[in-house]
Amino acid sequence: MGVPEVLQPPLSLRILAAYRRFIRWLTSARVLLALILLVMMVYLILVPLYRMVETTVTYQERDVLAVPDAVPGQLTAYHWVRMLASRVSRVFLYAPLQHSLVVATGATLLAMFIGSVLAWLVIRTDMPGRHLVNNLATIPYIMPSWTIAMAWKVMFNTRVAGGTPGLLEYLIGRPIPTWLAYGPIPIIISSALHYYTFFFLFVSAALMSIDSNLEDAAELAGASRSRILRRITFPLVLPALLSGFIMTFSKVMGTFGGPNVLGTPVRYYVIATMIRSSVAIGEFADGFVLAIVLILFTIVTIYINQRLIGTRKSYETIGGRGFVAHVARLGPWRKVLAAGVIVFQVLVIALPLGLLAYDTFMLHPGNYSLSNFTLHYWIGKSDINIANGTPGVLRNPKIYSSAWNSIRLSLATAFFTALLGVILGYAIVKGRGTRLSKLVEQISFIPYVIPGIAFGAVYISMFSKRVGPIPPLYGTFALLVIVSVAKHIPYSARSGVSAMLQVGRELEEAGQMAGANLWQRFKRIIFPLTSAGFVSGFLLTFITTMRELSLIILLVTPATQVLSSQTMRYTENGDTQMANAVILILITLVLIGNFIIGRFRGGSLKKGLGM
Amino acid sequence: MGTTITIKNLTKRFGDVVAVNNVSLAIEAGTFLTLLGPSGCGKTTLLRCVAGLEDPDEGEIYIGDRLVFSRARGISVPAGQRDIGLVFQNYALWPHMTVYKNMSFALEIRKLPKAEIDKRVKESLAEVKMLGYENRYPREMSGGQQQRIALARMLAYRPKVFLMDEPLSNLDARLRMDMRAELKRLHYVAGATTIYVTHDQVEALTMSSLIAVMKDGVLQQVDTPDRVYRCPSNLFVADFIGNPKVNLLEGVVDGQGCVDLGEFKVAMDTQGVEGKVVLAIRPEDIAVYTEPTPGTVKFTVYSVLPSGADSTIVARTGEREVTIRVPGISPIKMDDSVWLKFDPQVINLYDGATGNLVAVRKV
Amino acid sequence: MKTLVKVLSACMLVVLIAGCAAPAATPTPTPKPAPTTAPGQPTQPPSPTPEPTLTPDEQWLKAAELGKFAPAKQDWAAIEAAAKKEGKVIVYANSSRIEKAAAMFMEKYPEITVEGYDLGGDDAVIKVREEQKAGAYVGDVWFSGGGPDIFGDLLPKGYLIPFVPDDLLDVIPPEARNPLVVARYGVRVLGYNTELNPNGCPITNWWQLTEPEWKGKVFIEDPLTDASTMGILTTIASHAEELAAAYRERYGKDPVLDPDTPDAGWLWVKRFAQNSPVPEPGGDEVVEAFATPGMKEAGVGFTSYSKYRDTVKGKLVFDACKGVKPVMGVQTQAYLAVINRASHPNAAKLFIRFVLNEGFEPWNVIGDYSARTDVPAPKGAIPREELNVWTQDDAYVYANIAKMRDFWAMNLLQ
Repeated sequence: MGVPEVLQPPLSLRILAAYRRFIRWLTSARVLLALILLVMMVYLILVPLYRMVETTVTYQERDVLAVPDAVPGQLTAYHWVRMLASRVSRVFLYAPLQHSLVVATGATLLAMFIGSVLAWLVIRTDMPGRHLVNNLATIPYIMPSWTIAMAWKVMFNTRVAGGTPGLLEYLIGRPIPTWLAYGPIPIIISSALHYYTFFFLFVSAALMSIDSNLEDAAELAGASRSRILRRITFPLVLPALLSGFIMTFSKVMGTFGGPNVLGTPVRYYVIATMIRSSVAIGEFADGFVLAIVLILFTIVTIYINQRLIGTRKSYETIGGRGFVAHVARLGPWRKVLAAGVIVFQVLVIALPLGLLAYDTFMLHPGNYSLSNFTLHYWIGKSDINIANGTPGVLRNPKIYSSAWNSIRLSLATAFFTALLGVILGYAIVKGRGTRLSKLVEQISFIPYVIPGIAFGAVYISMFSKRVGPIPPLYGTFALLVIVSVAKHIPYSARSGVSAMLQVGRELEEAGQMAGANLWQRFKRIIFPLTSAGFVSGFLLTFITTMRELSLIILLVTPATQVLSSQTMRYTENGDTQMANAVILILITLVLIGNFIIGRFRGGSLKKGLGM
Repeated sequence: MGTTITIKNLTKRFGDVVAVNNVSLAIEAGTFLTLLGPSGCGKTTLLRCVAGLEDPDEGEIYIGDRLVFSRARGISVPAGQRDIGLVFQNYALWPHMTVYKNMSFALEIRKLPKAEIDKRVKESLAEVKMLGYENRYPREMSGGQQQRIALARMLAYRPKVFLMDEPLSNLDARLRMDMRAELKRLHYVAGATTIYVTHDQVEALTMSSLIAVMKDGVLQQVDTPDRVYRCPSNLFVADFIGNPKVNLLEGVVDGQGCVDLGEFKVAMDTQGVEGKVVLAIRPEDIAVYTEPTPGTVKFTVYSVLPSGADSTIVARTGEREVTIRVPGISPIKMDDSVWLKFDPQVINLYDGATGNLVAVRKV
Repeated sequence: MKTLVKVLSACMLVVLIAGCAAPAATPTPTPKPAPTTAPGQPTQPPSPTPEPTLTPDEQWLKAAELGKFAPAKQDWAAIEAAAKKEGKVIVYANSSRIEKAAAMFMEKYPEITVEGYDLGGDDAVIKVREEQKAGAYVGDVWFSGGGPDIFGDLLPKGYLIPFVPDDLLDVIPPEARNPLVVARYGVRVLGYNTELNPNGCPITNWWQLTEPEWKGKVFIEDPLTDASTMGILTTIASHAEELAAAYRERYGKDPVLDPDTPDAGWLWVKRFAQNSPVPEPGGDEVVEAFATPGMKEAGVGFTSYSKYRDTVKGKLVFDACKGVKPVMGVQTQAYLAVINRASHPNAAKLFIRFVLNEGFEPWNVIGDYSARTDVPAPKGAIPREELNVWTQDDAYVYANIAKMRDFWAMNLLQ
């Protein structure tokens, strides 16, 4: 017997129903937030990217000098042809690109090795002093990346770059080979020594989460130790290695400082140097072409890496239950190994800092004798004969205002970044599986691969005019905060996602059932539960922003001078002692900040990286 | 007092999978309805649709006279405004809040005065026998205690409908039994309409006034526990309900008023059905004789499992194996011979092809 | 339904990007007719033609009595009074000594606060350009280098307004005030290590720097990352005649050009680049590379003559190669000007006059020279008349610096 047809409701009703459903979808928490975030990120990330691309495919004012009938604003392939297929391509693009790839790959692999070994020693063996090693491991990240390069120079300087011989040559009395002092090898080593922290943190987190039952089962089945390591432990650690690889590789690819110090004297240039060069003489189009090539290469490398390893870039959080896994016994070599590791770490930290500190007490550079000792650069009054009359750093009101600006900038950036992180985490995790969430996550990943200097260069012109209700921001503190927050979006997304994953879906649903709206749920349930993640994201951003230079150097103005750019000013003026003193102040402030912030709610650098 | 719940043609899909397939239910006020079925059958999804945590793809939901969801009209009242309470399988107590704060949260949202909140919290805690725990944190309590707090949290704002998603599955067996009694009592006292999700059929049978058995998103049978137990509407339900399991015996209608099971025959009215059929008979409905008796079939005892109040015996003949339940500790031993009576009055007959109930037991 | 949303959001995205990314019409002020740069020409006499409506820039010029609205004679009493009312002046400089000058100014005029900022040479250009484009008129005084960009970009756009105190017209020669007044001169010279070369500079002719003996021993600040050094190289390339003469002097024949070198100037740069000069990341590194006491091997380098101050203090063992042919080095200029639409134009004028008078003191040290003919070089420095240097040709540099960068990179890194 036929069932009576269900009458289709009239068209008007269906339209109304569809409209209502659309509004409901639009105003649902995760969608609303995702859309707001999307708009923000379009403006902060995609628009600069677009502007960069646009600059490279149109004639710029300066091009009239080289191409007389160029019309500024007209579309052209000139810049791309110039950089990719002209006589200058090899020196401006291909050779530096090759150098960048070599250095980035080498540094990443070396950092991977160091970080992983240290992590294994700390987590999985009975080496004495593990706790100390653990704490020391995060410090190299706090120092600006080029301090190790500078210390290297002091140690290893050799005659090819002129000047007095470095400490090593002085000690052993014989000239050291050039490849050890300058060029790719020193750059790789000094970068690895700075970035191994990433790998250490990631791998140790992964190792901690591996249930030793997995390894036990293998052992009972008769597998040898090395086999267990290879077939069980290693694959479980792979996602951590991948994450560390992505972060380290993209950062090293875009680094300017270290290669500038250790590469320039032997004419070993990297892409970041060439970008800086172009921007310095106002050839933004050249610089952006290089930046885009850099970005593409970074993306491709990461992609290949992901394919090889076959895992997603986001990984599961650890339970943090703190169960004890198998500990390998190291036998009679324990103490020696421990001593070796600690010495290594202390060297990597103390030596650069020590050399910097020593340098600030020397009146004349290069003269290591005690008669040259002076406190002038710290507390000396203004003396026109020394450093152009700049008073010692502790007496210099400019230093205090710069330090205050640095702290302000870092705190503000850290706050907004961490806040953004929680919201990003919510939108991405709650919408897991939807295209919107995937889009948000993918866009948030982009600033990883954009070199800081290119970012800053685009931002100059982006905000120099009014946009809707937003007044021109060039020269304001707000702009520095905005560009710093934009650059840190990937990190905040990562730690936000991780923090949100720890908050089970049901905890929020229980809030929904209780009648709480989105704001109430955020305020009373989500924020309190992700506070550790918030604080950690805060900490990581604080540290990074304090020593950030290339991103903001072009945007900093006298009123917003920060410590890192102040260092650059002193260096350019030839006041190295002042510069080094400022760096030491910077590092001290960061360490203090690290300590204070870490006391809040169990936040830590580890969690800030998304673990 | 509780309200009615009406579900019409509810369908919910996740990608290609149809989790809930055109389900319709009319639940009277004060009912304790259990959604019963194996995992993946759609019962939790259905519950979450009623709760407002998922939006169905088709259908309508009424709570009382109020339309809280209609796909066709594009209406969906947010979960917090449907006046319903939900107890999660994992309790979902907010770990950073005390018991008191957990319970007062919903009341503060509703802007109740402090004195009233205080009163309600104390009352609800008393109802679950957890007075004195106001200032504890969830992590300081055991699983059973957390479960009761979760319950109290729901009770505090006196919803008209209780929804519970396998609330007892994380507790140990002893505690589970105690809690069942408590829950049933609470339901009775509050008089709220309750929808209870479980995969444990014993729970369903002991607690509900109505059971809805689901499989692959489709309702199999909606009936009182008694009827679901005694007259399952298809083989799936028959097999799912009952512990020990019902005996399902496949055979063929021989055209002479019997069902031929191979090793023996059972004479019964097959209601015109021909071909393959399945006989269903509950273990406790098979009479056991220790001596040959007319109208019985000889079986050999395969195993005997005494368990205090009764004993479960598995007996075989030929390829056939049946499970029997007898009261008390049975003296029957393994390898003994027993004679079993298959009384058509207590047998349900099912169509061998469709699995549907064809002839229902008379008694 | 989902597709509809997708399409809508995609459209929204594109519109947003295009809208935000399209650079809004930049409010370019009507370009002022660029004053001629030929030396010896006096500035145009001001003749404010009455116009029906003035642009905002012109209104400001009129109020500030600058540019085409400048009066025949400056009334310093009025300017000083107006400056005190303004109460503040913001200076963009490229020297850290601006602080000292600021302090001195504030001592003399306590009613006026000076905010002096030490920007890098390139940064000042970017800063003023962006501020003017944004309409965010913050800076008052330009006190920095950046010649090529000034003449190629900032001046034509009217971002900088020339101003010379008229009581100094006699002591500042025309070439030092057209189109902008020169605040000070600096000199980049070829320097050598006096400890290892007690008999004087080992270099007598620039072409020696292209010879095998000096391969890898010449130090310069990396032109690729330091625009001013690249500017110096470009200036060098513009003096083909003199380099050709020096070539003839050394080798006794005319220089043979390569296909990619149009003249002897570019030829020199090419040969120099091919001779493995050592780029250093900073000026300090350059001079330390060849003139640190206690070194065993000699080198030479291009560096600022102001480093000689450190020699006096005993920090370095450096001196300039005074007799080298064709020249000792290249002269650089720092200019003074009022920034367009400055909020404190009178204080700006006052400050400019101050720096050209007693305010010059912080820079009256070895290595820096005043543009005034009546201010002698400090004790121990080479007098300006004896400086055999080339002046930077800003127009030429602006037009060729990009080409030079390509040229340099290709020859250096081949």
